[in-house]
Amino acid sequence: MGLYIRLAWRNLLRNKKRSSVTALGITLGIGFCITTLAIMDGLSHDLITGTTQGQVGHIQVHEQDYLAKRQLQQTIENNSQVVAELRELSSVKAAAARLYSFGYLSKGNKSIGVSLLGVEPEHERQVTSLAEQIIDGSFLSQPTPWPKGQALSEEQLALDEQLTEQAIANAFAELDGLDTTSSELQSHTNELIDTLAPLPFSLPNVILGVKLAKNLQANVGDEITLLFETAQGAQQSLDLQVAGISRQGTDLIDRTRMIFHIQDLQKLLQLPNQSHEIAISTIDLNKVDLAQQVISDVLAASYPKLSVQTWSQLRPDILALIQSNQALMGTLVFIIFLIAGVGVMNAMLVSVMERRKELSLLKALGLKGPNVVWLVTIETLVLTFVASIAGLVMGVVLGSYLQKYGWDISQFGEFSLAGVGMTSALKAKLTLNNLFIPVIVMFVIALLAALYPAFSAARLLPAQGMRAS
Amino acid sequence: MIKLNQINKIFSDKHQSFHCLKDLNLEVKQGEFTVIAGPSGSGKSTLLNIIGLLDKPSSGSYEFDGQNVAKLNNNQLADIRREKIGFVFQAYNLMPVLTALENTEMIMEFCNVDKKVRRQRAMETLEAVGLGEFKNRFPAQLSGGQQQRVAVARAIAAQPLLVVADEPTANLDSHSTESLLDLMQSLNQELGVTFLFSSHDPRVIDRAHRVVHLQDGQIVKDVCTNNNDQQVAV
Ligand SMILES: Nc1ncnc2c1ncn2[C@@H]1O[C@H](COP(=O)(O)OP(=O)(O)O)[C@@H](O)[C@H]1O
Ligand SMILES: [Mg+2]
Repeated sequence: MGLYIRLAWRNLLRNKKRSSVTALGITLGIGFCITTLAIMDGLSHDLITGTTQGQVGHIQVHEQDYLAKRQLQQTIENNSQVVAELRELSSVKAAAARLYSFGYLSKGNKSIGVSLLGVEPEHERQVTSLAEQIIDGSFLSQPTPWPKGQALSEEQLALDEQLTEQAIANAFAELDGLDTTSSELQSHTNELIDTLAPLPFSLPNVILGVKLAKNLQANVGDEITLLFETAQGAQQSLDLQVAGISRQGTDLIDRTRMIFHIQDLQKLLQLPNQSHEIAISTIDLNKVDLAQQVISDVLAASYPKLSVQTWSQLRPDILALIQSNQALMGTLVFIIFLIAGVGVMNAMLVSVMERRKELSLLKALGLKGPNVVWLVTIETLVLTFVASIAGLVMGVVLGSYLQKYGWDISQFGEFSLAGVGMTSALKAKLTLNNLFIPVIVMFVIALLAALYPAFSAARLLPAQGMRAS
Repeated sequence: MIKLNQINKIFSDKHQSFHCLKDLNLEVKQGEFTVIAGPSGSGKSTLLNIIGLLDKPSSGSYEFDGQNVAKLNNNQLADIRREKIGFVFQAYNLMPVLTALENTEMIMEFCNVDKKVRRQRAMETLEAVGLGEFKNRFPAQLSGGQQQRVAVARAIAAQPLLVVADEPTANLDSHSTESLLDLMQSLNQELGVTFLFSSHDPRVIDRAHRVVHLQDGQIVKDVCTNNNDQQVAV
């Protein structure tokens, strides 16, 4: 063994130029692969955290048909109990309920369609970075003080019936061309509505997406008016106040998003103690499937109509993006290794050809075919070993630089991949796998590349090289 | 120790074939110091290759050290070569990347001889061939004669039964030729190692105890002299 390594090492040193060119190929291959893998992992990591912290969370709970139809009525009932139960679980770090709807927002003579999002500000902070996206004003805190609506009394119900009949009669009368304007009917009706769904004591605070605010020319502190529909289908309008402006990074969201305190939106839509979605942050994202199982099991008993999904089930596009990204990088790495492998094979072939006489001598002196295969293979392994160490150093240096300082991609513009706003510096992520997989793969490839030269060396006849001519 | 019976060697390729050794019979005993003499192209190397188990005869039987070696496969032949035969070739004898000492040690290392034992034996052998002080030189740093001495040292250090030397002095000047032959002869006498070598140089042939004359692949004369005196011509 010692002799083989000595022979291998000295043979490599014998043609320093060829050996170092081949080694350089291996070194660059490994160094580049480590860096590439680290960037890839960094990108995947950014995408996943961008997705989970941006909006999705690790896990979400919905009414079972909500994701397919997204109708206002498909809510999680008993929201506060469900959320409280979820927060009890040891695998759950935080849980935040949300309510969604649509409306029409106007200020002055401008009107824009908006999507409404109701959140629990303190819990949302622990699940996503929504609160950190505020670029002007402040995030929401307390719900707006709002008088409780009351159920109608017997007399009021009778009055309601009477008013309805009168309204129908008036409508027919109007058709007949009679003047039926009745201020009394209007004021009675308003009284009833006030009892059922009274106005808040102050203007509810909302957050506007940055592009929405710009298009409306709305600033923090401005009053705006929202036209919306309650869960019962009644059209209503309400004045609101802009408390903050947020930038999420995705054009569509920044153009249409409007955020409420969930309790305010529940009042508006008349969906008390209901939500459309509960976003959950778990203790360990790597064990999200386990947490999903636990949550499903817990909810299944008391709330059979709820379903539980992980981030990757909710955003299969992100998962697909990560996977195609990995496939692309994998192909790149494979090509690099193939080139390095061809380099190794070529170098070893030339080296074997040059040393035909010596190898024949060794066979004449009693080395067998397998010994010669081993001799050439060890030479390749020694070369790969030395070059791998250099490649590891290169990969670690480059990778940790990119891990610390990132790769500034802001020069290419604001980045948003599949609706996930990316930070402008792409940070690499060095892991043990990133370091050792390229080295191991390189060794396998070098071994394969050594096979042909080694076997052609082993086939040399012992007598062939001995002829004087 | 060596018994060749009706050995034929025919080299053939697609276009032609060449009958190199013809019905050759030869017996060599333990301890001989024998030269295969003959003009260039007479088949000396071919015969030594067969005797040294580097090549196989086309037909005929060969018994080496009491064993019929005609039927052995390449790996078995390699084992016998490594364990029992030492080689000195005309050129390309040494591994260029190993020192004189390492070259001398090499075969013992392949035979897994204990490191201390082989190191000592290699050193003694190297000193015996007069190259003790050159042990750390690489072949390129030695003269042609010195290289052949290292080759002889390597051949005998592993204590073989037989040393086969194919024109070992062909590339040497007369002085180096003399001292190499002195060395081989003394090793033959002191250690009893059988030496079988080839040459077409009369000065070398004169030193042998037995001269086998080869011509066109046939033995034309086989003379025992037992005479070390160079002055007497055969
Ligand atoms: N591998 C071979 N293929 C074909 N012919 C060969 C081969 N080896 C030797 N010969 C021929 O056999 C003859 C004897 O060669 P060789 O044994 O080398 O002679 P010597 O060593 O006496 O000079 C030569 O004519 C040579 O051309
Ligand atoms: Mg010859």
